[in-house]
Amino acid sequence: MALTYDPVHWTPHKRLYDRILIAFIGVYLLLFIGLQSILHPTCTIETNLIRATGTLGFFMLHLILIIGPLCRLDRRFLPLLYNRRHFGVAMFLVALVHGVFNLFQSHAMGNVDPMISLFTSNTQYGSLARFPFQSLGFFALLILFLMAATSHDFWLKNLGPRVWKALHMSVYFAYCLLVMHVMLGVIQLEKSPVLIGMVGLGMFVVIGFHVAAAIKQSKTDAASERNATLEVILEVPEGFVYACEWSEISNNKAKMLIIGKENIALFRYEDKISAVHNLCKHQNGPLSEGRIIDGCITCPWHGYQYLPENGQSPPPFTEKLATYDVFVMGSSVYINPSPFPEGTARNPAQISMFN
Amino acid sequence: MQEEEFYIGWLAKAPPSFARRTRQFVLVSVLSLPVVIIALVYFQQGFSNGVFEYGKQTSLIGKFSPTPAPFLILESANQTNGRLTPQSILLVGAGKHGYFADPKEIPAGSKVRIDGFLIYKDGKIALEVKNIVVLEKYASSDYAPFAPASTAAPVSLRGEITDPKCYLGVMNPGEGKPHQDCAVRCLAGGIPPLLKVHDGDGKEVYYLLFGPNGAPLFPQIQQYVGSGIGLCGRIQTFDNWQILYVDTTSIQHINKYALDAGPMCH
Repeated sequence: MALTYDPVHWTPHKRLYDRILIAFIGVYLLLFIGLQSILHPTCTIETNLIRATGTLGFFMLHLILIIGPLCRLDRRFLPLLYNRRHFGVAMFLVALVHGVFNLFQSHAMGNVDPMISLFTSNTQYGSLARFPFQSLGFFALLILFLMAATSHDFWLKNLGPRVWKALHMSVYFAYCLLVMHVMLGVIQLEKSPVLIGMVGLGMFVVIGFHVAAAIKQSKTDAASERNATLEVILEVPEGFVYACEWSEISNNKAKMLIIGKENIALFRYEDKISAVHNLCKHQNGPLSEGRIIDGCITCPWHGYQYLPENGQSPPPFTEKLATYDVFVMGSSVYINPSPFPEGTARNPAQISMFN
Repeated sequence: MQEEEFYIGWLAKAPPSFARRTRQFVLVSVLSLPVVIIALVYFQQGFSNGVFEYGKQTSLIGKFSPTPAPFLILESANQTNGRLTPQSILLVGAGKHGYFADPKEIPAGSKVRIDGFLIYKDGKIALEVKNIVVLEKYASSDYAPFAPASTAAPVSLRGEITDPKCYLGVMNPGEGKPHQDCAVRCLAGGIPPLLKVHDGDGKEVYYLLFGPNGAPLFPQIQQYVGSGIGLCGRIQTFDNWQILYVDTTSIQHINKYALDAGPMCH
């Protein structure tokens, strides 16, 4: 979060991240092109560059795709997530070089426009083996372009988190297109099972990390679920359900609750308990995994902040979360899962008097 | 990990446990680089020994023959300092185009000097024409136009159709699925199709393809470019080239693993 508008809010982390990223790309291209030139001296420089950028882009996409589930499995990987959009934009630029060189090599200087040639040179869409694989790469590149072009918070703000997130989830569709692009393209020419095995290993790693993260998340969700209809305690006001013991929540931290369709973050701070909607307005980050820092709920993904009493970002920011009523009796915390409009101030429940 | 550690990207320093995990990820990624690169480069199918002398202009003198495709029939072998044996050189245009000559400007059999860039592989030579000068405009007395002969031998072949310009050296690889679209564009531009066939000794034999009466085959063969096919036709020799007049109804896709199987038609 920043008070002034900067196209990129540079931090020491971002600078280091980008330096490592650029070095990674440079080293890969140098090693690939160098080794290719030594082992295959008759390979033309265009083909060498096409293969170097194609394999690098695909490799980078795998790394990008595993960062998300890796952070779900171990939040200490979060620094990788914080600046992932730079990784994504860099990967798009590498893929763009691959696409442009391919378009020029395969389709330029002919009797029709290269873009027309791309879609008319091979029209065997009904055959899997002879499928026009370059069109798959084109559409994947188009998706990656849309993602790269809208990666800035300007677009996040204007499209809204839901639309923005949906657009950026299409990276999985792009990944599927690219796997098919590789399998129906260069793998049809190559004979070594090692190359097919590498594509398979990449898919296995990506899918494996996502499945592992989903299993962990489902366990967390199950542990957080409360059945509103089963809680009937006479002393508790109507509409409230049991949440947990307040001792279960560490100071300045939170507990996630799923009650019906409500996803709630229950924060304990300064002997008080407040509840807000669990999803950050920025990119739907899990606020319950955040902390209270400087009196504000702080999102673990990108550091967006909210006041726990009213769910509002501190001025001059305007993001607002739905809030909930909380009630503490003895050592138990109860919550009313009916949300108040976003930004509505609710009195925190005090826990010190019962301590 | 200490429980109280919490990472915020906009703070100056990451907690030690977060920094350590991030370094581990970067280290694994960097260490995997050489493994990935070596595997990718080493296990690639090799590249051909085709050569395109782009930027290195060669001038050749010979007779111009517009049939079966535009050819330069070399006058002598010593024009290329021994690099070429006397033979016919297939003429192609720049980019993805064939070479077309106006018969009024360059009649068949004319003695010409052509400046261009050589393309060659396995003894087959093409020339990307940059400039052509007619030295003797009229047909040489010893020039006989090439035409399909009734004595052409019937044959059944399996192989892959590509374009000779790329295959002989401009693109590498100039064959297979990755090159399919480029080959289609070259053939659409007027370059005659080339059939590449494995002989029994691990070598490759090449045939320039035409219709039954010597007419261009494109676009009838468009869907067969870049993949394994079988076809029937008649073979005729043109200097050091094999000309194959294709029965277009006989062309069929075959599995690439069946490329070395036996005859199909005869």
